[in-house]
Amino acid sequence: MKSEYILDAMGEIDEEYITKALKRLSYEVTEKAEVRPIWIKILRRAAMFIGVTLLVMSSSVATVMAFNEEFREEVIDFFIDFFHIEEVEEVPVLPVGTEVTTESMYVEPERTFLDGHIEGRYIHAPFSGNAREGVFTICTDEIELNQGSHYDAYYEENGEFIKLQEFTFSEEYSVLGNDFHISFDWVEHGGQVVLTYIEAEENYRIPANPGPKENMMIELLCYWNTEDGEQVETTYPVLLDLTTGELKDVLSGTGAEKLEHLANRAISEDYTKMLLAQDNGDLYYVDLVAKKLYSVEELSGEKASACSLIGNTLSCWAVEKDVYHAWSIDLITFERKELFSGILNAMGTDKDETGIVYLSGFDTTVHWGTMFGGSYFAVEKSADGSVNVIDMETGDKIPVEGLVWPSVQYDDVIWDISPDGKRLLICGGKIGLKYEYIGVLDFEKMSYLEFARDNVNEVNEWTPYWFDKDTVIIHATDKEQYNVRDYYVYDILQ
Amino acid sequence: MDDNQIIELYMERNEQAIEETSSKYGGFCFRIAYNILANREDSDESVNDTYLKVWECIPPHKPTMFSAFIGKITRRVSLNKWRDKNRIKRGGGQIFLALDELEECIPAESNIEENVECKELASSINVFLGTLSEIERDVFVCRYWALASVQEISSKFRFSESKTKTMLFRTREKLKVHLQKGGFM
Repeated sequence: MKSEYILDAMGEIDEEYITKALKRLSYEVTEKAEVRPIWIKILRRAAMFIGVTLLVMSSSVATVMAFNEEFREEVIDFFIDFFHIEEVEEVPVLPVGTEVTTESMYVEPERTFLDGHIEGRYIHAPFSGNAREGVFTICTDEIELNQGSHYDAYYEENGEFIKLQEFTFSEEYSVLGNDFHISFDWVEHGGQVVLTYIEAEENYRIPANPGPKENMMIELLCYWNTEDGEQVETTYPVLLDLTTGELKDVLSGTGAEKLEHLANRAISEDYTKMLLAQDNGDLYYVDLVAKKLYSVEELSGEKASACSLIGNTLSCWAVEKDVYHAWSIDLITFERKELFSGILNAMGTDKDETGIVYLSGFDTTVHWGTMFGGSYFAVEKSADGSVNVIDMETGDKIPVEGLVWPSVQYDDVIWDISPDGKRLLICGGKIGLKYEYIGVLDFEKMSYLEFARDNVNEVNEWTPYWFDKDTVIIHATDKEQYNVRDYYVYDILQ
Repeated sequence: MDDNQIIELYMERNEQAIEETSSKYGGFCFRIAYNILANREDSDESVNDTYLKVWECIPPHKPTMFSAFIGKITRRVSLNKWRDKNRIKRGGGQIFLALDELEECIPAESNIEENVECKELASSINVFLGTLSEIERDVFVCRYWALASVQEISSKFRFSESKTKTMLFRTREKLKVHLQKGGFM
């Protein structure tokens, strides 16, 4: 092999270069390295794989992992080592064109990067509005595009762009003594509603992920006068059935209809529970079945900064003097259980400190215009860069081997939780047009996938985000025409 | 014991030199050998062979940087052992990956083996390494001299693996241009 000549020649380089490099690797230690022979590792991995497969078939791996520390660490070691990535993707410049027809949209056939764990597609989409919830919105009429007007919605399958049927919703309602005329255009994809056009939002707000057509979330800006004659306002969440026009006032009779200054909401997937936040930071849990409203502060015995709704558990935390403590409330027994305490908030601090670098919960902030009931996991890093994931339901700490927390300042790090809350997209180190790193931390599999991308052609990339629960998307625009877009789409296969 | 004292023991043909070398550099040599051979028994053998070679070299040679000197011998011995054993790809350590990566520096039509001697190529690579930033050079040497894994390098340098790979990729591209300009291809 010709490259052996280079390898041999490297053996004769300047000794000063060798010494410095070996110092970096800490190879000057005196004790013998305890390296486990590879054949033993392979056998152990095989055994673990078989073990995991059997467990998946017979019971919950998560349960085993929760109760068996040693088993959990072995399984994590297997999964992390398994996703070692070698190939570097050179981000291509897609064919230039300003055609406004979908026929001219270029899609590179799917190709596998990263040892088969990620499949990539490249899409050139002139005059695209955006891409979210698995749908590309495209305006093929240049005049309408410049007016910021209607978009058509498409999804891509096997290189074909398939237009989604569009519907118009227009109804009038009266809620809490306020009148509303609600009008928008929508499509359905993957069981979820995606809006393609909405009238100027005067007195209602629709989240970016409003849910299915039978129970679409919408917040109505309501006003009423108190007994003192003071006018108060609130953004009152209700559900709409777009097929029948029925408005479902799910909070009616709970007492929540009297809460002033509601700023945020989230609803459970089974529509039995809701979280509400007032703009002063007060949080509420609503049992929609029993029609009962609970103050999270009263349930906890203290004020929570934020919370996460995880099944029948409400996990809460507070930060005092930059230190976290967390607890959970069982929503059936209302018993409080301590999860952890004394963990530093390491976001924005010196990078060598140990502490939590990611934890996102339900509070007064509307995350990216979406409904978000709080993350199931937190991420803690140690001073040496090693990473633990904290299960916010149980408080268990799970080490993530193979992941070194990026050595960049907090301000550089962007993260985005996947729509199902099971993966965290981490990216940062943006220098000019290039991200130094993009990675996906899978909380279910406890694995970390790092993209190996080189934006060598200096494509004008914007921030990566989740296109759907299994797909990361990066859009790039022409430096002057922002509606001429290229999409770099990555399906996470593992 | 510091390196100069160890070297003096070799110069005096005092067998304690090997004991002291083993004590101070045993792990160091083992790491280098293991990166290439990925096998404990073979790596132990390489380390023992290294001690013998060092004993044979000093004197007359008197190294100025003992760690680099013994590291180079370990590397050479291990590479030769690897060639002798003709290992299959899996279980063969980092060396196959490194060789694959370095292939990128050589165009397919190159007849490098006909035109170059190792010393000339080494000299050119030395010049090339001198053009790199300190970090780029250290990362490159860690990968292609010490044959450390990308994961290990990332951990030690506190980089993401993506950053390490990208840096190596770009450096290999630069090496390719350098070797072409130098007439090696």
